[in-house]
Amino acid sequence: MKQILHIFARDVRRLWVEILLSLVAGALFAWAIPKSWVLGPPSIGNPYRGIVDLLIPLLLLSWGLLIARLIHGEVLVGDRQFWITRPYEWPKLLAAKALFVALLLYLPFLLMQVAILLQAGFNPLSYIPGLLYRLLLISMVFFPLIGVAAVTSNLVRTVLTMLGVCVVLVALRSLEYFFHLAVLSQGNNGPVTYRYVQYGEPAAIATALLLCGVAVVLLYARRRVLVARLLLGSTPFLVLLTYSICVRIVSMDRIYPPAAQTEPSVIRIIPFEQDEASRVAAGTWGASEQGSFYNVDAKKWATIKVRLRASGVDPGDRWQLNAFRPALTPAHGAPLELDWQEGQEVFEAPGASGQLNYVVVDFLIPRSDYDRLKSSTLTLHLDFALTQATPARSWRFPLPEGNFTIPDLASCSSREIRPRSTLEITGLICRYPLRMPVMSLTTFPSKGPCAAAPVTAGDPAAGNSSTGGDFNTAPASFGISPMEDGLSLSFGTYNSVSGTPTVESQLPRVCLGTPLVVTQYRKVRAVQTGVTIENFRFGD
Amino acid sequence: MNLAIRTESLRKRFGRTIALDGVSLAVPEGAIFALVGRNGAGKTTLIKLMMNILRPSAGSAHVLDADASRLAGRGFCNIGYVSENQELPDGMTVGELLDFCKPFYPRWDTELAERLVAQFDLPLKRRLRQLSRGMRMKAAFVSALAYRPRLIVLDEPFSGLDPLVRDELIDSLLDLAGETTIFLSSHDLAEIESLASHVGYLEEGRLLFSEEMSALSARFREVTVLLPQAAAARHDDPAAARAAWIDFEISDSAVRFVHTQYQEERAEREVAEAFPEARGILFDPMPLRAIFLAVAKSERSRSRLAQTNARTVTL
Repeated sequence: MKQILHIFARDVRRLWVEILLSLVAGALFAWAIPKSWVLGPPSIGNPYRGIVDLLIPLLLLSWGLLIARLIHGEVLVGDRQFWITRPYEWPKLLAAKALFVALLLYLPFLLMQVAILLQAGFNPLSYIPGLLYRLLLISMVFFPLIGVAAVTSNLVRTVLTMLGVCVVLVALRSLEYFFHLAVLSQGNNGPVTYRYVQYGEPAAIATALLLCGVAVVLLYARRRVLVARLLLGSTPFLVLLTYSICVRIVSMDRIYPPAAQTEPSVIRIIPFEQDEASRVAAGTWGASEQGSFYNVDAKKWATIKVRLRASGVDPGDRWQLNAFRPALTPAHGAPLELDWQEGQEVFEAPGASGQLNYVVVDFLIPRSDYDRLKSSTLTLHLDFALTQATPARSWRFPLPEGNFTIPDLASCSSREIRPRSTLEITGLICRYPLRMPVMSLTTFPSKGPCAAAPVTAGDPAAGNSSTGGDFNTAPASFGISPMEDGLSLSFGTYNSVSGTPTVESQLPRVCLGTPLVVTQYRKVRAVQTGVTIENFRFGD
Repeated sequence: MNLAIRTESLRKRFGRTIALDGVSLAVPEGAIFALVGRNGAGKTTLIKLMMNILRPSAGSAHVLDADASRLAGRGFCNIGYVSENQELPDGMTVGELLDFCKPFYPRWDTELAERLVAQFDLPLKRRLRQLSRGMRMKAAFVSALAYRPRLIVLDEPFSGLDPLVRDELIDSLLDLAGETTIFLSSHDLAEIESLASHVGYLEEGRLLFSEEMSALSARFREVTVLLPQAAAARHDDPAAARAAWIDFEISDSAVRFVHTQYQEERAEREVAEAFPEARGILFDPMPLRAIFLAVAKSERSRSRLAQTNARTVTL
C-alpha cells in the first residue's frame, strides 16, 4: 500500500496542472449545462448551449491529456525507461494508476453527474444503480484512452494514434455509408430482420472493456507491447463480432416466451374487420406497392399490409409490438416463411367512445413470391413478440409555464408556437435523468379554447394521448450529462391509431393551465403470441 | 567462489540478426568486471538480458542467484543499473528524484546520498531536463549507488563524458568497490584499464574471453623474432603457425605475432623450435589496448576466412 500511495502522490504532484484543467472543465460543464436549459428545449440563441458544446470536447481532451500523462509517468513501451530497473512491483504500479483514475477521473465524473441531477431537481440517491452504470459506460471512453496511452511512448504518439483511430473510424463509417447508398441505389434494401440488441450491447461493452483491460494488464505485468497492440487493434472488430453474434444467437422464444393459448391475461390479436362483408375485400388487408418502406425497389419487393386489432387488453394497459414473424401458406405450392420483422405499434384498450382502433403491420415480400401467391387463397400466420406495460404511477397537474419537473420522471418544458400572437402549445419536450423513462403518456382535453386563457374544465382521461420511452432495461444510457434531451410528447400524435391527425397544423393545441395526466408505465412481461388468418388474399 | 552474474549459452536474435551467440559468462562477487567490445558487439544486449529488459532467445542468465528472466520488483533492491541511454524522469528535480527513489529501497543511505550529491556538486533544485549530460549521469549514479546495491550494472556509463566527470564517477565507484560487484560495459579501453579487476571481450555477439585482468596481461605477449632476410620469407603462412599465435606481421628480417598463451619457458621453447634460424626472440608485455586490437584483428580475419571458405563450398 505504501508503494501505491507513494506513486499516487508523486503523480498528483506531477500532474497538478492537468488535474486542475480536467476538474475546471468538469465544474464548468456542471455549471453551464443547467443554464443551457433555462430557455427550455435545445434552443437556438441560448448562449450556454454554445458553451456546453465547447466544453464537451474540452472535457474529453482534458481527460485524454490527464490519462496520457499519467500512464507516461512510467512509459510501458521501449527498453530505456528508468523505472523498469527499479523495485517497482507491477501490481502496485497498476493499482496506483487505477487509484488515480478512480479518484481523479471517475469520482469527479460521478460528482459532476450528481451536481447536474441536483440542479435538475432529481435526488441522486434515487439513481444510484444508474449512476454506477453510467460510470461503467464512461469506461468506454477512459479504457481505450488508457490502452492507447499504454501502447505509445509519448503524448505526441498518443495523439497521432488517436487521430489515426478517428480517421479509420471515419473511413469505415464512410465506407458503410457508401455501401448503404450503393445498396439503396440498387433497390436491394429488403426486409430488416429484428435483432434483440439489448443482448448485444452489454456483451459488446464487456468485450471492449475486457480486451482493453487485458492489454493494459499484459503491458504492466509483462510489457508485451506487440501483443497489447494487437489486442487493442483488434478490439473494434471483436466488439462488432461479439455484438453481431450475440444479437443473432439470442432466441426469441427465450426473450418472448410463447403464451399458452388458454392464458386469459394474454392479449388476443385478431384481424380488424369493420364488417363481415369486407373480410376479403381489398383494403382490409393486402399488398401495396407504395408502402411505408422507403428506398424499396417496387420491382423487387411488394409491401403487404395487415390491419389488426386486439382484444383482452385491460383498460390502461399497453401492449407494445416489438416484432412479428409472417408466414404465408398457399393452398398449393411452397409456403413463404419470413424472419422476425421489427414492429413499433402499440395495442391498447378501446377508447371511451368505444371506437375500435386498429394497427397496421406491414412487411416486404419478394416480388416473385408476390406474383406467385397473388392469385392464391392463403393462410397468413403471424407470430408476435409483445411487451405488456401497465400504469405504475401518474401525475395530474395543470400545464405550467416554462420548465417544470415531474418528480422522479423528467424535467419538461412546453413546445410552443405563437400563431397570430397567441400562445399555443403543441406538446412537451422532456429531459430525463440517465435514461429514457420506461414509458409515459400524456392526456389532455381534446376540445376547448386555445387562447391565452387557461382551460379549467375537462376530463383529461377522455383526451388524446402520446407516448414515449422504451423498455430498455439498462439503468443508464451513455452520455456525459446525466440529463438527456429527447423525449418528445406531442399532444394528439399517436402512431397508427385510426383517425389521429399527424400533420403538425392539425395537432390539437392546449394552453397554460390545461390539466394534464402523465403516466409512467412499468413492464409486466414479454410474451409471444400469434394469429392465423384463413382465406387471406392480397388486395390491389 | 560465489558468482554475482552467471550466464549459460545465452543467445538473442532480433529477426535474422544474432545479437548474442551462446555467451557463457561468470562474474565473481566483489569483482569489477569490464565488458568490452566494439559498438554493436552485443554489450548492451547482454546487459539488457541480465536486467530482464529483454528476453533471451535461448540460454539462461542468473543475477545474484536469481533467474534474470524473473528479475522484477524487489529483485532490483540490490541492483543499481545506469545506462547512457536511460530515460530519466526529466520533469523531476534532482532532489525530487532522490526523494522519490528513497522509499523503494530499505537500505537507502541518506548520508551516502548527501555525500555523493555534494561530491558531484549536483544542484538539487534543478530539473533533470535542464542538466547537462554529465550532470544527468551523476544524478543517475547517486540514485543507483545510494542504497549500496550488491551489484552495480553500468552500460557505457562514461561515454561522451569529459575526463573530469568521468574521474569523479570512477572515484565514486571505487569507493564502493569491495562491498559490491560492478559490471560495466565500455568500448573505451583506457578508462577500464585502471578500474577493472576482470575483463570480458565480446565480438559480434560471441564472448572471446573473460578473465581476470592480471591473468590476461600475463598470457599475452608480443613476440618479435629476428631472422635473416631469406628466412623471413619462409614464414609467410599464418596457417602454419600454432593456434595460440595470432596477428602475424612479417617484414624483411622479422616476424611479429601475439602469443595468446604465454608461459615463459614453454613459450620460449616453442618459438625457438618454430624459428630455428632466429637471431633473437623478444617477448614484450602488452597493454590492454594492444591485446584487444590483436584479438579483434585476428577474429576478423578468421571470420573473413570462414566466409570465403563457405562461399567456395557453395560454389
